[in-house]
Order: sequence, then structure tokens, then C-alpha cells
Amino acid sequence: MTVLRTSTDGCWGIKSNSWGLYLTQVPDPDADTVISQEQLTGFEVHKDVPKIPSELWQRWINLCFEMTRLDSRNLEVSCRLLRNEADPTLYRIAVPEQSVTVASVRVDSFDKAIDIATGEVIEQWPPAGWRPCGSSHSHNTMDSFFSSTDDKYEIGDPGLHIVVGNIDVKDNTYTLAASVTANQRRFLIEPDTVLAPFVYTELTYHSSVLDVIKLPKQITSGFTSYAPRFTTHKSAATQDKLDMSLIAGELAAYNEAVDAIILACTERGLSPEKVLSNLSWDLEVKTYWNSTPLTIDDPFYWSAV
Amino acid sequence: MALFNFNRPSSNNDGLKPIQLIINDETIEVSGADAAGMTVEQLFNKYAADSCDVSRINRYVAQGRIVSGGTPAETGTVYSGAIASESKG
Repeated sequence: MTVLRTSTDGCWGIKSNSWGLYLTQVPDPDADTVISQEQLTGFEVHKDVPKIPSELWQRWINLCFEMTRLDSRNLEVSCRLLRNEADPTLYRIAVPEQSVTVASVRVDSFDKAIDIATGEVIEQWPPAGWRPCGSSHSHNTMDSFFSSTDDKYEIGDPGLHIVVGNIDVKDNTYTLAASVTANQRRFLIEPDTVLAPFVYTELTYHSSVLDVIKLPKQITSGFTSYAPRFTTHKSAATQDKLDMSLIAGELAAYNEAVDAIILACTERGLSPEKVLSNLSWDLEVKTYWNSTPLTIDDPFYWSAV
Repeated sequence: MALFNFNRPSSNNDGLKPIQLIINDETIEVSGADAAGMTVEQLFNKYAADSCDVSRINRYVAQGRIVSGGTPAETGTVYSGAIASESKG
């Protein structure tokens, strides 16, 4: 059989049956290698890979710590890694304009980003002479791991991706999870294979990076009331503009659902106040995102950890 | 045999300069013949889909200038695709 060897579609041969001809995949007659499963799924970091300098990495870690100090909620924060095209040993870290919540970071566009070291505003992504090579984000005091949302966005974004977690501002400790994504797969690696050894430095993040990090609104009171009293939290002027009767049916369903939750909490020994308070965070986040529409056509809108 | 009349040798020996597609640190080389008649976006969709989420590329750059995805690809050119948004959880 004549073997047709294609560049990307493998080896094919023309087969014939009593009705006609068709193509079928055939083994490569010149095959000379057996690949083990370990090799197939493994990743070997280049021994001479340029490591991210500690002086630069510490600026990012300091920002992660600052976000933990800023707000008692577990707010996340994200940055992008850039590598110099002419000299691949040079790195930059850019903090894009982002909206952060307790469980997510959303970046609508990297076109407004701040260089973490110099405060330079990057207005077109990627900046001339620099190539995107990965990202990092903080999980604040939560564990360092790659969530389903991270997978959704990082696996198709080839490069180095690192999560900073378990941040303890008292003990000044944190943990890292590092990976390289390529070929639509994630390969876990040891962080110290890509990060230079720690060197103490007084250097920290440029203060202007805080200007591009939008925090969620604070909840001003505990969520001890629900729909019927929802509007009593508003000012009189705001109430005038809100005709709640337009969503009377939905509000009735909402009230029934809340009543059912309170009943279930009572029956199962949970604190209704605490449960409703947790739900109020979700409401706050949903309210925030609804008021901040995406500026691009993004197929992945929202998902929590 | 009209359906299975293959032209050989392969397209790698056509004498046309290859096209390079870059996404972040990944480079994909496409032979000039394979790229013939395709736009920049079509090239990324066909040859870079194994390396990245091509649906998230929102900008193409060639020689430092932004080009439309509908631009016919030229042999010997390096095209970069930029992912410019994300979410983290």
C-alpha cells in the first residue's frame, strides 16, 4: 500500500473495498520511537532557563501581601509576565487594569497596564519589544492551586503561570503553585526552577499599580433583611426611581426562596443570619459585575473558584 | 482515481518562504504552500489551535504593526497573535 505522509495529519493509505476507494490512517512504516506515558505527560524545564529575578518577583509578592492587608476579604490580584525579545533574560511584570473580588479577578483588556517596577503606563498590549510569557495571581489567604477558572483561561494562554496563596501577613509567609501551559495542557513545575533564589530587597511595587485595581464595594450592613425591606436600605431619592412592582413576580419568588432557606437552616442547625450574610456577598458581586459590563466579546463571563 | 490524485512531493519543498505564527513564547512555522490563500486569522485558527485558545486572540501584529485578521497572509512574514483579556479564580 502506498503511504501518504502528511505534515500534520499523520500517515494515510488508500484502501479499496467492493464499492470503492477511501483513505484510512495507517502506521508510519518509518516509525522508530516508543514514547512512555511518563514522557508523554511530562515536562522538563530547561536547565538554563532565565529565572525571574528575585528583586522583580519580590515587588509582585509585596503587592499580593498589600492586597491581603488592604481588605479583610480574601481579595485576589493578577499580573502579567513579559520577556524581552532581544534579551530573553530580561523580564517585566505588568499589572493590568482589573476588577477583583473575593473569588476572582477580571481583566477586560491588557491595554491599560502598569509596570510594577517603574510605574510606566502600557497603553498597547504587548508593549513593543516585549513578549507575553505568562501570568501570576494571588489567592490571598486561600491555598495555592489552579482553579477551574484558571484552567479555562491559562491552558489556552501558553506560558508560565503561578498562583500565590496561603499569605500570612503576620508570619510573612506564602506558598506557590507553578505551572507551564503549552499544547493546551498544564504541566506542574517546581517554582524554584523558574524563580531566582530569594534576595532581600527594599524594592517594592510602584504605588500607581494600586490605581488600576478596582476593589468590590463594601457592604455597609449585615444582610439581615431581604426583599420586602430591600428598598429600605436605599435613600428616598433612589426609591423614587425604583418601581419594584415591575418585578413583583420575581420578588415574590425571591421571598419564597429566602423563606425556604431560613426554614432549612433552622431545621438543619445552621445559622440563618450567617447563611444569608454569605449570600449577600454573592449578591454584592453579582450587582457589581452587572454594573460593569464586559467591553469585549468574552465567551467566559464569570465563574467563582 | 480523480479524488485520490495526490500531488507530490510534499508542500514543504515548494520553495516558498515559511510563515511564522507567534503566540506568547510559542512559535509555529507554516510552510508557504500550506499558507497559500489563507488569511492571518485562518492561519492561526488552523495551525495555532493546538498551542493556544485562538478564540481569545484579539489582535494580530506583523512587523510591529497591527493587522486585521482578514489580511491575506504573506510568505516569509512573522505574525504575532495577542491574547488581551483574562479572568482568574
